[in-house]
Amino acid sequence: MSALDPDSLRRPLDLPLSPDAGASLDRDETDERPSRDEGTIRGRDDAEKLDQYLLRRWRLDGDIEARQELITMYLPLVRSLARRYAARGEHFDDLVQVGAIGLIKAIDRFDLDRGVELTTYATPNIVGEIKRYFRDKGWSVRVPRGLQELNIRINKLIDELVPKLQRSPTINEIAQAAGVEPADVLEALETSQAYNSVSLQSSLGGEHSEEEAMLIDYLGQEEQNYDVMEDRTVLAPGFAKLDKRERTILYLRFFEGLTQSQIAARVGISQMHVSRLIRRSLEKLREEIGDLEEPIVPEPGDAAGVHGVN
Amino acid sequence: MTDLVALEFPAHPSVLPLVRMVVGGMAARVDLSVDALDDMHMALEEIFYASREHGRSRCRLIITAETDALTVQLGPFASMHVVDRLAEPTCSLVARVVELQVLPDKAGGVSIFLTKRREASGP
Repeated sequence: MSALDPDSLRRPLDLPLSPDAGASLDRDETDERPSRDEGTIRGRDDAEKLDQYLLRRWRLDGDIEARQELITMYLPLVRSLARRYAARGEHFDDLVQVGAIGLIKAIDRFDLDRGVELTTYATPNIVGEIKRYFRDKGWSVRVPRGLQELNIRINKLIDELVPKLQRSPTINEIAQAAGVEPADVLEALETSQAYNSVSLQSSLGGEHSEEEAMLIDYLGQEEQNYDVMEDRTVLAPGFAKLDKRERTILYLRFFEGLTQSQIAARVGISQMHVSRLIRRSLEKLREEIGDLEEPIVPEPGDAAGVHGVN
Repeated sequence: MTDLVALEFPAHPSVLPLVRMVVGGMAARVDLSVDALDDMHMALEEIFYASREHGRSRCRLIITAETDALTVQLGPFASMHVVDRLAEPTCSLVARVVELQVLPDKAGGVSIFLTKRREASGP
């Protein structure tokens, strides 16, 4: 990600301010600048007063330096929140910069009349901005936000419809449940192809990564069948390159005959995720076979015939 | 009910999303499940890659939606090497979840037919 534009720290976001924002404030309160010492209870009160003072200076007088000071004061909060997400494969500094955007939005949108502390308002803004970053980063090509959201909604709907219908839902059923056209469902499903495969080491959601189960924990329950898989000599060269979990998924789908939805239910992931894992495994197999084989040169005029396969 | 769509497109992976969309649209007419559609997509992609490696610059598809089945015809292929490719692991895997037939065509080549039927327990 590119470095945060230093000017963005000085430039107000292009957000509409309510005409009477802060109008009820007593300007006399802003005359004296409170000191900030967070080490005592009195210090916290002073810190809150300082926030209010700076927010008023910014919102009422347009004092850009007050805004800058608020941003600087709350960057430790941003760093603290960004640290929670640092183990998810993104650079910590990038997360801090994304979080800082959330902080700036919070400062610019803060309603002085609400009577809440800036930290209370800023924290969900910062976390939300970081989460949005992860959501957007998960897509290997740019997919419009609306389609991403529909894809996520459809993903959930499929998971809800499978147990309800006791089978995989059709496009039309999903469209009806989502209140969209079948073409929209197809388009949203297609966007899942653009979604980066999730690492097996990745967590399955939530914010407390140390307490979370990882995807890898839900796989690998069919170990007794690996030998059977390896006996399938026709598949052996490529399968040797797959990890055990990928072989498990392929085994369940292609040899046990479980549907993607059934595999999803068994391993505790979504049908779309199963689909992605199967595709990734097939891709690995294809690449492995491609590496092993000599390229085939077409033979013009090769005789045609009838060949039944399967 | 029989609907038919014919596609001819460059044998390049970048075109696959478009192909998947068209096949998906036809699958919706048959009321195939998303699982069945995904099987068809994967099978189609594997055959696509197998035939592409054979040096073809263009692909032809005929997608047929019938009352309870979706069939995608790939080809015709002039060379039998594409048939050899079907024995490869990825093709043999997907052949486990779709009906796959190789049939001669009138021009002396072969075409590959992939069929996915609507589940008996379906809507």
